[in-house]
Amino acid sequence: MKHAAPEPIPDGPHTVLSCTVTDEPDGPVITLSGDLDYETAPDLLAAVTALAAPAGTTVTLDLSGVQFFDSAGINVLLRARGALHERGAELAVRRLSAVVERIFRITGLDTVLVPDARTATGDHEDPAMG
Amino acid sequence: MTDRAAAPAQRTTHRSPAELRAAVRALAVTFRLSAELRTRLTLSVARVAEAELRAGRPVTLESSYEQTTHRQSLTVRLRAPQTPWAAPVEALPLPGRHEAGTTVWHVPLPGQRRPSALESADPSPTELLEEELRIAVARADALEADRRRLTHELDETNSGVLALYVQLEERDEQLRRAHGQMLRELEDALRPGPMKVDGLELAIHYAPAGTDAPTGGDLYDWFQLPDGTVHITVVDALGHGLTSTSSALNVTHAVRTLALEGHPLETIVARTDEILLPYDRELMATVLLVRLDPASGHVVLANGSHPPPLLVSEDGTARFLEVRGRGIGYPMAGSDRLWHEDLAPGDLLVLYTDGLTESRRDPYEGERRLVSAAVRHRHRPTDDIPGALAEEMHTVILHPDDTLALTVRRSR
Repeated sequence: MKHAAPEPIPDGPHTVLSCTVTDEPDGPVITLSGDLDYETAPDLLAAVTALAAPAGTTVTLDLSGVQFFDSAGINVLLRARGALHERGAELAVRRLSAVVERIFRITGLDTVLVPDARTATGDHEDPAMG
Repeated sequence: MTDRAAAPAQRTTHRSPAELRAAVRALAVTFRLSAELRTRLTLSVARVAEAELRAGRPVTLESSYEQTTHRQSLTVRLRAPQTPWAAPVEALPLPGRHEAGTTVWHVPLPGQRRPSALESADPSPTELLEEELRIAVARADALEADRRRLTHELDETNSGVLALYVQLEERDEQLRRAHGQMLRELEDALRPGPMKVDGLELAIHYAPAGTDAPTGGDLYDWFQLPDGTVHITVVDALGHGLTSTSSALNVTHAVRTLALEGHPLETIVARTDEILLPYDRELMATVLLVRLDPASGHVVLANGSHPPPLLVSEDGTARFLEVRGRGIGYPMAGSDRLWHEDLAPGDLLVLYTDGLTESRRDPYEGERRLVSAAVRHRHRPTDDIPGALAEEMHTVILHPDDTLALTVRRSR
């Protein structure tokens, strides 16, 4: 399944998210690109629930291309995780973009969906100055 | 038709306009046409004949009189026997029409022949003209008076309509004000009023994401516990508008009840989740809890997924107080630990929701700007700081969201 998405418009009134599914040895990977927010959250949920993910499968989200991520984004990740748990499958995340990594840290989501440390991309310093 | 009477047609031939006009006027006088009708007939006949006479060709004027029981009429015909084309009859003072090479006017006569206004049996052409002029002038005056009266009426109607518009606009404005007032009262009812505590200065700024939904999912609560410590809750419930307001209210009420019942601060986030989730599986909210001892300046924090408070010291240093934990509706809800901090006199604690720091879509960028704004504004009166921060943080809004900024300063 591949959504051909137009170029994201960062300042536009409408946000765009593309979800590209690839099969990897450890299971299906959905690579997200664009904004994960209230408007695009249903797209991700649809992409996850449409996957053939039998019990024991781990579905991985590659979040390196996510440019905006808010509480609606968190909500949809947790919903996707819940939908997979019902089938006995698991949700994993990898390659968090800097924005996603900060939100994961603030909200404590990084203790629920533990990112693969080897592939993390976020490397921002502490924004607070001494 | 026995009741029909007709006088034999009279016919005269004319070679000059003056002559023709005199003949028409004489005819009109004979049949006692009104002065106005006389003018119209004379002008009409003269105009139709004008080109013909100027070309040096004669015209013939015929008149005939008919009477039936009910009416009497005069028929006037202008014949131009040598004309190559018929003269136009459009827009004549007295309408006429073409009929077999002649121009014809049918002039109805009054039921009874009324005496002319002129007493003289044989009025001179000058007298006739003067009478016509006098009547034309009187008619023009009457029309002018009518026009003035109608213009005045129109003006009055217009100003009446205008007044109606002004009145409607005033009513509209009154309704808007009443509506705004009602919404503000509703918001005031949802949010606790200002709190005066010796040793602390508290200030708040709140703005919803949209003007159509004046309340959103951002809410705060503050109250004093029996031991004198001040409790502050800041909550950001998922979504916008009244549904999220209702969720946020449930959270602040649950927290308040648990806090007043004496539950330990470190358990309140988890306990609130346990209490509320069975009633609302969709509920999702970040929550930050702050306890302050006004006497000592000691602060304790517990957190569930909420953006970290910023501590700005009197000397201009600033740092975020990050407490790990997960909010209401999150898996493993609860604060991982408590954070202890001591405020020095003059120190400023800035609590906020992500609408303040994520208006440009990047939390790092927002946190950096918040630090520099808070450091710069730290010496302003505490009451002014939340508004000043919101204004500075929102010079550019790429992502509109409910926004709350709350500041606590330990009095100097």
